[in-house]
Amino acid sequence: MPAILELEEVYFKVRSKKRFQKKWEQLQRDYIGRPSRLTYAARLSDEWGAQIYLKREDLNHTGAHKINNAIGQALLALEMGKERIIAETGAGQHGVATATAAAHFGLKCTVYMGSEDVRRQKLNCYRMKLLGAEVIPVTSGTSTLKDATNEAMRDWARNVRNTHYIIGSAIGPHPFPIIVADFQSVIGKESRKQMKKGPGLPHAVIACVGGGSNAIGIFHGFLKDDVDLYGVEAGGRSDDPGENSASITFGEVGYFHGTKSLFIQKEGGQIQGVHSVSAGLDYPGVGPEHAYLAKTGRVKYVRVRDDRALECFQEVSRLEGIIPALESAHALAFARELARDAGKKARILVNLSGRGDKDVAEAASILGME
Amino acid sequence: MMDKLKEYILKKRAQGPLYMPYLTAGDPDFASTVRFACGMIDAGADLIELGIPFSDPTADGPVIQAAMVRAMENADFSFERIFQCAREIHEARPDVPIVFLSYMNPVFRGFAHKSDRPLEAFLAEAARAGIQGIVIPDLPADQPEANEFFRVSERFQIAQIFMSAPNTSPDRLNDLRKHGRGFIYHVTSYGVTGERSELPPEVKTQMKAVRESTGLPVFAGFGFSRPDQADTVKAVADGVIVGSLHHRLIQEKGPGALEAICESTAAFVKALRG
Repeated sequence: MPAILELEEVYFKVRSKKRFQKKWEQLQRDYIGRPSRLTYAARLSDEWGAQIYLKREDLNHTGAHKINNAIGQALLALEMGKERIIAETGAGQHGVATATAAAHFGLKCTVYMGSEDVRRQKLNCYRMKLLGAEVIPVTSGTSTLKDATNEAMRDWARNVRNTHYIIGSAIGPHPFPIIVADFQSVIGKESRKQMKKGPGLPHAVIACVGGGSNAIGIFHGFLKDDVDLYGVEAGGRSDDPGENSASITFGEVGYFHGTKSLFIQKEGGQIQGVHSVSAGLDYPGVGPEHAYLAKTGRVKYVRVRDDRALECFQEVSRLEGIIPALESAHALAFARELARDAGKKARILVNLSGRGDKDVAEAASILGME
Repeated sequence: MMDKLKEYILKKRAQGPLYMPYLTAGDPDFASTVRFACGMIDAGADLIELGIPFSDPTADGPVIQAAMVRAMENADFSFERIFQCAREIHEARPDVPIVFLSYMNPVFRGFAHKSDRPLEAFLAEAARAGIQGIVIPDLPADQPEANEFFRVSERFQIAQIFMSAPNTSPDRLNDLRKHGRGFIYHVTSYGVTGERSELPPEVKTQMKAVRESTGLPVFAGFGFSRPDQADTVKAVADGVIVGSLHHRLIQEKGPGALEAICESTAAFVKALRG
């Protein structure tokens, strides 16, 4: 508790300070490479039948939106005088981003990763080690993101005096969901400006939702506009329990990882093991702000199954020369569906949250391309 | 309202600090848990802490995690079976209080499928099973849920047992005073449950401060593995909690761990009372 109270105090004190903002903006520009580009996807637009725009978070340093939050929270760790940062990671993008921030600022770094994810995201595992981080495979439970989060929390309890825990998604106890949304909202701010200056505001914005950090980031730019917002959950193999990780669709109110939100549960309040082909969406819950946005109806949450995400992963690679992360491929697959009925003039903005290099080996093995 | 559990502890305290061994319900099976608990009571345990297995026990180390996994793998594992296990212990040894250890979600949502008021349903079941208190490691004292729990649990005369840690601030200790009942579970060192070779030297001053601020008896837990460690906190602790040690024995010997568990219980009791 004192650790999150300290984090809350420090964050709300520094976030409006000029000195902090200047440093954060300078890092976004010179290190992350922001603003990220907005790409009009001409061939996808032709093929799918609407105007498709991609917010290119895949072009950020380290290849995903995760770096926005990792650099921001590493700055907070420095403000708090912590010398070590830790993280959980699913797809490995948040782990790589945290290891990168640690290397950049000269902090010690440990990343917890489910052993199932270590297997399917080997490349990111090597990257973290190369960046000087210690990677600890987690074999408890389902050996995926939720178990990595458990283990990171245990580490934090042990080393709370010198360690800051950089949670990678919009989950966990207050103030984490707010901090993560704030650092990720740069995606929404930029893309709103880019769309407005160019073709005009989009009719629909689409993002994939695991814990929900990239989605909350882009949605924050459009909450007050007359724009349809869609969060795409992992539909996995089927609607049966344990076969997907669509926590807004199938979850119930619960308490987990320090937050009250929607979680996929079993009898007696046990947390259900979940599945998604994409390691980054493989989490049994969703950030509390998404649960709220679902309840108010401001955002519609839909789901896309593994096979359709994999199809889209290939189609977007072939048609646009962009290999999307399997997570982002879920958002793209829903964009294709939406485009069919939206009409040729409809502008659909998709958050391309990360690049798919990390998924190539796993996809090749599933698709029999090896 | 009268605090039955606190009264029991204060009365017994005259003979020396109390001993509260922890057992995960259902490890390796429910019948063994009942036998272990009765054996511990007969060897001198003053209270039993019974753990509700949870899929994601974030405050527990690897030994208790593994115990929870073993428990949940039992063919007859169910939420109801846990309450039945508590009831069987209670009926066999009615004079010894049992407290539950559970994470928040089973307590607040465990009966969500069967009742519109799942917390009430949980506490009613617990009361029927003779449970006198509940420790919820992931329930912060300043959240509305802690208030809700307090309000409902008073009706069932079940104590809301809070935890304190080495870094708990004086302000927070005051929160614990307001809604805490029974005793305070003091986490003696940073981290999760598990055996440690040494206890930090500051434990004594911390526990004194906790008792003064909360007005409740203070039990020391996390990290005890040998009776001589219990001896070092004897002067300041109202009770000592030992958990991982039993599950290491169960991991090695299964249902045959009874004898070793009773021996260890007797050794801790002796160290505390002697």
